[in-house]
Amino acid sequence: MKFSEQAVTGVTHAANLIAFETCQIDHLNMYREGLEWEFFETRSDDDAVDQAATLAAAKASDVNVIIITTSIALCDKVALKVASKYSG
Amino acid sequence: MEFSEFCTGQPFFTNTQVRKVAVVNSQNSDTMSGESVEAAQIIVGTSCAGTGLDKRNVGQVIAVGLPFSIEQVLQWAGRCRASGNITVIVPSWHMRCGGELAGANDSRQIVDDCSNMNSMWCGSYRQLDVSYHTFDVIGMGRNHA
Repeated sequence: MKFSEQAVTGVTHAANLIAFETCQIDHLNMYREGLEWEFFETRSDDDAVDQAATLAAAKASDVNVIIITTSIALCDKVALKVASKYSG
Repeated sequence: MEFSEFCTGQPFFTNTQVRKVAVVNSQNSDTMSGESVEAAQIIVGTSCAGTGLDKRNVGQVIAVGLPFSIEQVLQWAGRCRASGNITVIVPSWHMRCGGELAGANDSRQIVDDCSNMNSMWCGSYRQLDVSYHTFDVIGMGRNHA
């Protein structure tokens, strides 16, 4: 689900998401022609990992995909999940 | 799939499609060959993969976790040389931790708590002695039938 579509619980979260999606990105002109941005919030790390792996698997048939994680633990989890998508 | 099988770096999957996945992190980014990176269709990496990685035909960048700064997101997006999609997927609890993009009104204690929790989690995970290499995810693999 997209940030903007999610029923975000908590004022702080909502403020963060709005800032993340609009203000700061607009401020730095991050909208580059040809690039499309999506933002998702997940309930847990596992949900994020699963969502990333699913998206990567779907896109990889057309283009190369780079998944960048903010920790080694997340990297390991994503790698395992991506692999499991193809384990048959 | 047993975790130990995955860690060996040996090809073990069978399928009609062929995918190559490269895992890039700070432990192997210096030794991984450019050919391996170029051959991979999916690259999974830590933030070190977000800078200096020059790969053709990247059409999708997925960031998992709250980036440390907005400039970092911009840098990561640069992996797409032309058109493409940038998807940022952030677990909720990351929004309460430190970093430029997290809540500015959170206390330092919360930041410290999250850092400690993250360190403990990473530490326990590393105890599995994971060592990744470039590997074929599909094809040439062990037959699961």
